[in-house]
Amino acid sequence: MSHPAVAEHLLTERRPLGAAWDKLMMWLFLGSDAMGFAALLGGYAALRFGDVNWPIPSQVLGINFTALMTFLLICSSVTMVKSLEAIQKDDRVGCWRWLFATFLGGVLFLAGQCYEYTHLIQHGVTFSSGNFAATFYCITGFHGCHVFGGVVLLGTALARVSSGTLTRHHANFIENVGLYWHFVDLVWILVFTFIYLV
Amino acid sequence: MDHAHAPAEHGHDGGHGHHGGMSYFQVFLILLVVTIAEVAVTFVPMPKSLLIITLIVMALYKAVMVAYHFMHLKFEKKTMWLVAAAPLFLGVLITIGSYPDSEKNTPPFKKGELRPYAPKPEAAPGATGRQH
Repeated sequence: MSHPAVAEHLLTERRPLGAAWDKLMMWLFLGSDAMGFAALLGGYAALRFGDVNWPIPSQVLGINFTALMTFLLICSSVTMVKSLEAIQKDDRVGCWRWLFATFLGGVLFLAGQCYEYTHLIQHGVTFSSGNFAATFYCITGFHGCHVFGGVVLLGTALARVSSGTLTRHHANFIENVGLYWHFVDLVWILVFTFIYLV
Repeated sequence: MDHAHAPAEHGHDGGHGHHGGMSYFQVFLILLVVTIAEVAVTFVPMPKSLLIITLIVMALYKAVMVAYHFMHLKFEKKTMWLVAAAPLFLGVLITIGSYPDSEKNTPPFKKGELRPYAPKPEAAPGATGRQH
């Protein structure tokens, strides 16, 4: 076997944990990234435990508005799986449409977060207002950065589908982008509960 | 490295959107209903500890639904589930581990000074370790 053939064989035939290499790498990345979020939320819990001055989140934050943002992310997760489904059927137009809907969901979420931050800052809730505000901005901001990264990834995928360089044979690219996007959604579900509702 | 693996890596569903007997739309509806329930339950008068447990259970259920159906964890080997579950384990561990240093167990913070550790009167003079 020639070297390229060996490399191809290793990449396609050896499947640790039963997954393709790129998917495995994405899962490992998401696992390590989730540990970052776990550490942030753990630190948040330590600061909050028994702090009698900790405000009731619903009295400071807009729960209904954030619930709407959560709804938006859940919708974008559905459109993301639909885009994977479309590309697996070689429906590039459908894939582009679902991807664009996901992209739009991400952009709207970021816009909502900007609106929320602006509103809070205008009402005097800044990063230095105390542990509540600092942990709020730190954790939601860290998540917002992930959403931004996801939007960039989705933009890349959109460009590739538009240019015709992404076909059903590259569906694993969309699958990996989807994994990342669902992870962003999953983390938000936890952030929404711990920061806004509890 | 996106050169062609099988387009539907696990032969998921042939594009019918049904995963484990549940369509994506059904998963979406469940997530939507649980999200509404989460917000609603905060208005129900109940002990704080019960509310927290209820909210955490609902959030974990939603998280598992997303990972299982949308992230296709259902089709992965159980060892991959460990990769996904490890951060959750760490989250619990770090929360328990940092509890002794939580607000509840440390003296009030005064502006302009570092958080003091309570001096231990019984400490032997010249003992090494953390400075009090």
